[in-house]
Amino acid sequence: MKKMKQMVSLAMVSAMAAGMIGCGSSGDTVSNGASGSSDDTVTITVGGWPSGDDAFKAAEEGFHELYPNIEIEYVFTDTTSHHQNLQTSLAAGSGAPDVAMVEGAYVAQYRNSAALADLNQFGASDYASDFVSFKWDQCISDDGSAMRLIPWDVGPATAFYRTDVFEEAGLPTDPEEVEELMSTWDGVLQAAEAVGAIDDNHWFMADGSYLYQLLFQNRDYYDEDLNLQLERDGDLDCLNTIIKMREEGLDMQVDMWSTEAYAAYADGSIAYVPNGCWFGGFLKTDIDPNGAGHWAVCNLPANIGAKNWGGSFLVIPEQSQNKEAAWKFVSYMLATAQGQNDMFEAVDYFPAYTPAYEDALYDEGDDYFGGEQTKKLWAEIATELEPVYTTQMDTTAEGQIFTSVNQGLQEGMTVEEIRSLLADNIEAATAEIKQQQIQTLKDAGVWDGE
Amino acid sequence: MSIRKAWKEYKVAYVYIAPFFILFAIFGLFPIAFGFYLSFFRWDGLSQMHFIGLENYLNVFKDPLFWKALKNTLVIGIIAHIPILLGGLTLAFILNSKLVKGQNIFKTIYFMPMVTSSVAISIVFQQMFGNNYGVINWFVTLFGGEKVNWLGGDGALIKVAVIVMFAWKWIGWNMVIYLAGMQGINNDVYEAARIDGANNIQVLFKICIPLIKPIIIFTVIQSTIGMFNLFTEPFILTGQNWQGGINNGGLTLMTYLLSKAPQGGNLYGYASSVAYIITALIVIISIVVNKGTLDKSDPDYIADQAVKKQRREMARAARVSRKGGAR
Repeated sequence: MKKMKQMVSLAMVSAMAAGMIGCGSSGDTVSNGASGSSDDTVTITVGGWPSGDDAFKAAEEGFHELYPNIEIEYVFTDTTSHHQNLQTSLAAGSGAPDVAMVEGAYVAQYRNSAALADLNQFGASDYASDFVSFKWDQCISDDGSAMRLIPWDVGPATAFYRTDVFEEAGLPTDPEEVEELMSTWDGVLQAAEAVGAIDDNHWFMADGSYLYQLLFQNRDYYDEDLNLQLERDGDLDCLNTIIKMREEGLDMQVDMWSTEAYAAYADGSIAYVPNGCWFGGFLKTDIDPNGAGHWAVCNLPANIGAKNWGGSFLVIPEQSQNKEAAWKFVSYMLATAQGQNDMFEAVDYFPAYTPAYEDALYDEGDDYFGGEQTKKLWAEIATELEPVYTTQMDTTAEGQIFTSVNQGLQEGMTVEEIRSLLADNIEAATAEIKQQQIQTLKDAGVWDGE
Repeated sequence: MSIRKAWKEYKVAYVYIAPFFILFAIFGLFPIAFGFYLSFFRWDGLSQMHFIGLENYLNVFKDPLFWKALKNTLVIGIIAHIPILLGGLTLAFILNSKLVKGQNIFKTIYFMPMVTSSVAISIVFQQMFGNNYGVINWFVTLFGGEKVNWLGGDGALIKVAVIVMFAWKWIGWNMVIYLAGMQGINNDVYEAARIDGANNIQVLFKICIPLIKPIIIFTVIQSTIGMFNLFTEPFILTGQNWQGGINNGGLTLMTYLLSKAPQGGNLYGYASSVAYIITALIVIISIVVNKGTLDKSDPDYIADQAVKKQRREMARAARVSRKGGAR
């Protein structure tokens, strides 16, 4: 009897252990099982964060018409967890999905990783001229030998403004006239003063520092020798406008992504929001669903040119057992007009694949924005984006702008002092990442610095 | 007893306790050891690992942001401990006295912040401390004050918001633990004190606190660890800024660590060395708290020392007699 009990307990323990081992390798079992099944159906797993899954599901029908034998399984979680899981499974060599989304912030690191498949082996380079080169160039490894990501969407940056508030302030509301008015930093200040003059509960922007951030929105902080490059045309004029805005109480002094700012966008307390085109989707579905007609879109102020705000990429991990099928999925979704446009209509991810813009969709007016042809405007900006040199430090550098400018304003600094404070803060915050970036370039054999 | 003999005798028992140790080895011990190993490398998690010796540790100590983070964490933690300790004790004492009815309801209410999602709480507090629509500024202006930019400004006031949240969360936890400790005190002691004519204050300071002192020390160590783990609250209050907002006012040690890896960046080696430095700090503070609160006149301590002394003497006697036998 006692022996029996021992046997049972041992059996239970070994079952548990087996279960644990099973967990670790389940990723492999799924893909092997799928490719080995009798009817030639392949199942690929696709991982990412919302609302990427909604996008793929919207385009799935067209994909299945072409490739009826490829089944898709979605593994979606929040952005942070997704990248952590992906990073872990790439380092471990198993457990990654066959296709994974990657956020723009990680591009400079991922493009050099041998854990990701080189997409050139599938002929990705044939598409080079079809994609926005600003995005395409970021995907090519630092030694130029491989391409490990492919751009999904691009975020042409424009200004979103409240026509009702502009009207109340006695400002023009037509996009072209607004652009004309704000074609200089002084003009921006004039518009801000007009909005602030309505009453104490109207502000021009969430925080003035975002105007300065626009100058760096393409994340071209460093040159190829990794020297910080903060000087831009008109940057000091921009900072001067911000200083005056703050003195006159024209910005609300809140984070543009805070709940407080969201409430102010919805009730018209904040009149002007420069942002990526996807912010239009935020407005429609989340921030101001009843706001149709009192929002409009125009180009960024002071002729600062085409800027990009956001956008993601797809990768195929080297460990995937179904790379061919995964590439068929990726190339259909991202490199066909139908795939990209089905997804764009579902979730407002603006295609980085330029032939998609030929669709009649892009000439349509948007009722939410008073019938304005916003998609046409964004498509124009997307094609105007100039390629830049990107590094792993870029997002950390970007994170310093809001805090440094605000610190400078608080301490009453001059424009030059604010700029050098920003430089100091960026150097301090990126010290270690820079070492990693240099190491990455050394590993790629393209670093000839110290 | 030899290992072989122990295994033979307690085989079944070992098998029963094995699952925990196996899981601990995989998910606890291995990461701890691997993290230490990693802290000597430069590694971004994707490319080659490069051994760099103590460079990570040296760079951490050279980084002004690390010292800012340490200072912020200590300032927030030390100030927050005043309401946490006093508030927790007072609340527990009031609930423990027979004056209050519905003890369980109050216990649940005060404990609630500890088990509510910190993200949700932080978002609510972010709104309360809002510049223009925040309820706190509404009160300030109601009483004729100027609006205070809690979360912006020069970044100093964000600590106030973090301290309020931290204290609000931990008071309830401490109260529940203190209450349990107070209920463990024999009622006879209280009664004896009352008969001797002690008032409420005297009962609190002369009986309650001395008797639950070990529990207070336990809670201090717990909330000190909580202080070093402080991340979600300042991170969300600063609008998810990895450098702790303006002037790094809300940069805590845990935010600093996570900004390096795995959430804000991919500097795994560097982050591991920061983690080991934080661990060392927690160990040092725990030792200081334990030693600093040692009371040499405590009867328990005296008894403990006496037992230890006796054991030492017996061991010595045994050694002497063994040696004698061998000779």
